[in-house]
Parts: sequence; structure tokens; C-alpha cells
Amino acid sequence: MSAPITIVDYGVGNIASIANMLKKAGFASELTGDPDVIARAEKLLLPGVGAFDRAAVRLREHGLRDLMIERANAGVEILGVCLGMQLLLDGSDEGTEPGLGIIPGRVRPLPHEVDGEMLRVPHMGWNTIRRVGHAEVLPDVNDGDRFYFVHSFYVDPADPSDTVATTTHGIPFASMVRRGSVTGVQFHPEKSHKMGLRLLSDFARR
Amino acid sequence: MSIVTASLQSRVIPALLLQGERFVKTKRFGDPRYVGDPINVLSIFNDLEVDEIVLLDIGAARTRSGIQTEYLARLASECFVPMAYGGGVATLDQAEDLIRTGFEKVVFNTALLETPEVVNAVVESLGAQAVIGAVDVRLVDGSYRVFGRSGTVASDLSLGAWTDRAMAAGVGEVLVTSIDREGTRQGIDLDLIREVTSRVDVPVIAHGGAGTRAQLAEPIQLADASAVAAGSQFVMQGGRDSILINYPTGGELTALFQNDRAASGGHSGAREKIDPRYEIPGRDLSTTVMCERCVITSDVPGARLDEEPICYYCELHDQLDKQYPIGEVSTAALHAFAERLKRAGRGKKYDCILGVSGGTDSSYLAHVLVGLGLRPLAVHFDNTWNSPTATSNIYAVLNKLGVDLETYVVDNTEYDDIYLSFLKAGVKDIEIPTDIGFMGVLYRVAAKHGIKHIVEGHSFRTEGVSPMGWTYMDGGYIKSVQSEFGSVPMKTYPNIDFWHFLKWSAFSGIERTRPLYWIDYNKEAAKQFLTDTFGWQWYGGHHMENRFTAFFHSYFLPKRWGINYRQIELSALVRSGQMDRESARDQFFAPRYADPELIALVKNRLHLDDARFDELMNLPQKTYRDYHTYKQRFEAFRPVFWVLYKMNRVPKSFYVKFCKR
Repeated sequence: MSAPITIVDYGVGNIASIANMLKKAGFASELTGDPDVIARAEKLLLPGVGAFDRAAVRLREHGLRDLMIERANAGVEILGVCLGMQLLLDGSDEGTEPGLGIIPGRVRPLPHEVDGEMLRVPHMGWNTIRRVGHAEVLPDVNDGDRFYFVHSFYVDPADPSDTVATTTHGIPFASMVRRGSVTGVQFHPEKSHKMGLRLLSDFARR
Repeated sequence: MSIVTASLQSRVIPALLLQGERFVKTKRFGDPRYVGDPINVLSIFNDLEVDEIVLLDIGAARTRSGIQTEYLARLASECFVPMAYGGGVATLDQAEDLIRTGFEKVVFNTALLETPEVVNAVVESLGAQAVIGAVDVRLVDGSYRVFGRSGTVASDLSLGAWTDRAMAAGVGEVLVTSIDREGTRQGIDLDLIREVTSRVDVPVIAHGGAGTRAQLAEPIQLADASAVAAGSQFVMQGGRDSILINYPTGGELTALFQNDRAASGGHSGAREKIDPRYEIPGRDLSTTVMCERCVITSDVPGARLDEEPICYYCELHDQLDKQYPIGEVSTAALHAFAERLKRAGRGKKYDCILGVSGGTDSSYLAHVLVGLGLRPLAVHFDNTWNSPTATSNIYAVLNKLGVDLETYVVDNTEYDDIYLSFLKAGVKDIEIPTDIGFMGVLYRVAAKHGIKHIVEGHSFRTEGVSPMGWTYMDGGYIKSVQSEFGSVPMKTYPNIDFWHFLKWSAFSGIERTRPLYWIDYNKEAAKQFLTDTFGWQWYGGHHMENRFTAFFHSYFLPKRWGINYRQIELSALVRSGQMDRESARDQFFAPRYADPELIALVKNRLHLDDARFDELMNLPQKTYRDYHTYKQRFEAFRPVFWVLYKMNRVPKSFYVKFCKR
């Protein structure tokens, strides 16, 4: 029996969808913002949608910022989803608050123009990924798999070897990252149907 | 400057209209027509892997009287694709609630006209990607005018002023609906879409009028839209606009948009292990004997195995087989039957009524009838528990054969209440409302169009005959159970009461025939043929094309009653030489798997928590004899029904099972 997934509830994000999908896949999960529970959790999922600063502030106000960093250093498996992935970086051009600094690098805005052609932002819809590294991470997620994206900023890791997969919207960007025991995905597995179900099952089984 | 969408795939979005706890479809924002149960329709679209769903509560949009948050949470729990909600959202708190509930996006229409500062606050808090600015547009005196409150109140904003306002509020996406085209299936107003896409730099969803698959691509290829939304096309089929949920296949989408869509699916990681809690073992058969020819056991009512080595059902099979021998005689009988139908259908649009479920038998029969040169009118009783396979199959087969469809969608609230009443009644006949409703609709449609022939996809060679003690059904039974346990009156359910049954079978002269009896009907061969010819899909078991029927057969009957209908079907296949007895035995003894998702769906639909569900599954066992039925009246009218059976107006099995004491 794999350990239950603790979904970090800090008042940001569509946590119900993630819990629904884990339930569908047959895995136990708990929603909590309680630092004591999170301090003991074996597997953490950090969700998030919306503005970077607001989420960073809420995480700190819930007393979870330092705790998340500590858990990452302790080698606990963490999955950051969408804004939850962006929070893993040092900081974002979207705001002024510091990120968790677990994965070195910055969050940058998607360009509105590439080679003289206009690009619609947010990057919204189904797009494919290309795996470039860390084959051992989420092994059932393959080259060419489709996921649902909705974001205006992207993650730019300082260490290229942290990139697990890339996706192209005007420019190629890191759509999956991994450093130590911490993984981040830019897309929404909880809304990516079978592929998402497979990814979350993979994470749950680790 | 042109716009690139890079490698992003164009989104094709069902736009679904909620009114209370029902889905409806409107035309030019009026005449709401009932489409089906939202939980079931959403779970069908989810299984069809649609790109995204837009849900609009038109009641809440008009009255702005609040949002059905609890109900929306139940809807969201069935969907693992992105969902947007619109209708009456007026505050930041409401928007945050919706996101927490499981929606990805909130649609603002009237609020953008009346309180744009609220929309701006939502963008600040939840981000632009969570906010869709929606605009409903009507062409008035040659110029586009903006309307609020679900098209009922004209705004003084021009379309240009509206796009400026939406961009200033910071919305992440724009949904443009043409009121003039909505529900008309005349194609999307591309000029309107161009006016909007040229003014905004966020993705635009084009909505209103996309009636055909080809029209889906137009706003994307010709007007720079990023996505297209449609209603009618995805909930109706064919020239008669019958209700039928459908969505383009991956292949169709690839062809439409010329990019590769057929990525999803493949190996599923989630279902590798079967949870042992949902495996239902075969019943204890240690004290029974098994028929030497098929797999019927002595505990099956009417088997008579205590006296004979071969069961009564084998005997019945041989009688029918003698009556309908396969060969020249049956071929001649089939053609004579077809000629009779053609004569009866002269001067009419249709020769006969064919009930369709999306299953093997009715799908194959549709092909047979068309092959005989007949013009059937297909009729579907939608009990709002269809599986996606059922609706996709009906769509694929009828479209290709050019057969018209008429659908009757039962009222979901009333129907679920009938199901609940049967569960409360403690009987095993909880699924008969579907059988009676289906037959009731066939009779009604036949009577309405003056069609004298109903053809049924039953085959004794593949289905067998269900034992009397396992099911009993009639309209009086349904009426009495519902009046004792129901909480809503039975108003729209197409029941068959005694006098109507007599009227339709005796006085209206409607004949019921089972043409598959004349054919060497082989189930496996039929499935293969349907798959190859129509892209039809197998749904994993007899009767599994409907979700409640699947629940009934895979969980309710085996778990609560120790009944496994596979025994009947496997026995039939053995008798007709389509399966060897050893394999049938193995399959019969194998534990049955009940899909936990199916059980969860039943609980969600019928508002049952785990405790209440368990309570209902463990009620004292009752039978139809504990309730008022028509059985005594059928028995009293036995001579009449004997004549009707001889006249082909009622099936032999009806006469044998219902009229004899």
C-alpha cells in the first residue's frame, strides 16, 4: 500500500479536482493546511492557480514556506502543479515575493510575439510534451503525451539538467522539472483525462 | 501581423446549458428543450475525452438569484477535463468557491456589463487564465449589439467598447456567442468572430451556429479563433434533431484541423489491479446440479433439473429452433416479412419501428433491415443513464445507414425517483422501468406515426429466455411501487398501463416481430462486422451499454440476490453452438467485477451516502407478489392474449410467462 498523498491546502487552487482524480485512480489523499500534518507527510502535492505573489504570501501566512523547503531537503517526494511548480523556483517576474528556491531559476513571462508573429497568451489548451531527461521520473509519462495547459508565465531553470520535459508555445519551455525528490509540472494533470490519471497514479505509486 | 498558435491544438468545446438540475438546448436563446441528466451527460463527455466543457446556467444568468454550488460540485466531480462555469456569478467569493469546487474558469457576461470592477478583482485574485469574458451579440440594423442577462437586456456598449472593457478588466479569454445563430446550426457568424479576434490578443472561443463537423473548423481557420464551442451539434443527431450525445473522434478532429489529435488513450495505468472489494464471487452451487447440455443449474427457477438431465430452457430452445429453422425456409420467411412491411409502409415515410440501444443486437438488426430495403424509424428511449459507447454506437450506425432517429429523453428527476422507489421496495426488479419505458416509447411512436410494425432485436439463440422468478415486469407494478415509495408523481414516464397495452396490441393492430430468429445470428461475428463496418465499439458485456443496467447486472443482482445473468446468456450461446460448454462454465464461475466508479456514479446520482446505500442493499427481500401488479388480470385475459400471441401482437414469452398461472 503506497502512502497517502497530502494535498497542501493553503487557500489557492482547485484542490477538489486533484482529490477527485486521485480518488478515481483509487489512491488515498488528504487535504490539509495543518503544518503538523504536513511535517509528517510522506508525499506532498502542492497545487496552485492565480497570481505568484498572492500564493507565495498565503503559503507563508499558513506557516508552510519554511516547512516545504525543509521537507524537500529531507528528501520527501513533492509534486508542484502549475503555479505550485512555479513556486518551487527562486522567484518570478510576475511579482516581487521570493519563491521557495528549491529549484534554482526564475519564472518568466511567455512572449507575446515571436519572430514578428503575435502569440496568444495565456497559453491555453492541449499541448504535447517532449521528454528530455530524468527518464526515471514518472516513467509512464511519454514523449508526445497531451496535457492541458493554462498559464502566462513559464519556468526557466538555471540548471538545464533539472528539465524533465519541454513544450513549445512560440518558444520551447520546461513543462516538467525535477531536482532531488521534487517534481514540478506546468500543466494540469487533474484535468488532463487519461494522461493525467496516469501521471498522478505514477506519482502516487512512487 | 498574423497570429500563430504554435503547436497548440484547437479546442472543440461542448457548451451545455443548465436549467435547474436539467440540461436544455435553446434556439436563439429561447425555447429550451430538455436534453438529459447533467451528471450523466457530463460523464459521457468526460469519457469521450472532450477538450474542455463550458457550462452555462441560463436560469441563474437571467434571474441572478444565486449559484447552485452544491450541485455544481457534484457535476464537477464527474469531469476530468477543464470546465468553465457561467451564470449569475456576481462576486469574488462566488468565483473563488467555483474554483475550489473543481472548475478551472469562471465566465462573466452580465457582470462585465454591470460591475466590471468585480471581474477585475477576480482577475487580480485568481489570475487571468481563470476568467472568461463572455459576450452575447445580436445583429440589429446591420450592426452588432451587445446584450446582457442571457440576451434579454440590451446594453449601450458597442462591440468595440465591450472588447476594450474586457481587455481593461484583464480577462484571459473571450467567449463570443451569436444570439441570431445559437441553436440554428446555420454556421458560425465569421464576421462577428473576426471583429472580436482582431481586437483582442487573448484566445477567443467562437460559439453559436456550428451545426456540422465541417463548420467547427471555420472560425479557427478563417477567423483566427482559438477554440470553437457548440451545443446542438453535440447533443442532437440527424435530420429529426433527436437527442443523442456525440463528439468527433480523434480521427475526425485530426482531419478537420490537420493536426495530430489521436494521442490520448492507450495503455491505462490506473486499472491494472482490480480491487478485491469489487469482485463478486459466484454463488454457492455445491448443492445444485448442472444441466448436461448448458450451464443452467438446478437452483434456477423453472430449470426442472431435479427430474431431467437437460434443463427446461434447453427444451424451450429446441422448440423455438424447430419453429425457426435456419435455412431456405427462414430466408424465405424473412423476405416475406420484409415484403409485408413494405406493403404496409406504402405511402408512408417509414415501414417499421426499431428500438435501438447502441448494443450489438439492435445495431445489427438496423443493418439487416436496411439490407432488406426497409425504411425503419429508429427509436431510442434515453433513460439518462446511457454510456458514451451507447450514444457513440447509435450515432455511428444510424448515420452511416441513413436511418432516422427519434429519441425520448425521460425526465431525470422523475426517473431517478422511480429507481429509488424500486430500491426501497426491496425487490430485484429495479431495472424494469427501462424495459417498460422502452416498450412504452416504441408503442407511442408507432401509434403517433400510424406504423403497424415494431421489430425487436431479441434473439433466443444468443440471449436465451430469462427465468420467470428472476424478473417480473408490468406497468401496474411500476405504478404501485412508485405510489408507495416515490416522492414525486409519475407524470412523464412512458409507462404501459393495462388498457393501453390492450389497446395497442389488440385494437391498434401493432405487430411485434423478432427478425433475428430467421437469421443464423452469431454474436461474435456480428460484433466483428459492426466494428469493421461502422466503427462500432464493444462495451464489455451484455447490457453494459447503459450505466444503471450495468450496475444492475454487475453489482446489484449478483451481490444482493446471487443472480448472474451471464448464466442465461452463456447457456444460450452453448445451445446454439457459438461457445463450448467448458469455456461457458469457466466464465460463469469466474468472479464478477463491479466497477467502483459505476457504484460511485449511482450513489452520486441518487443522492445516497455510503450508509444509506448499504441500508438499501440489505433490506429484507421482497418480490413482485408483495405489490399490486397486472399479473392476475393478465391471467384472467389469458384467452385474449393467446389470440394476440397467435396474431403476432405479443411475444410468445409474454404469453408463457405472464398469462399462465
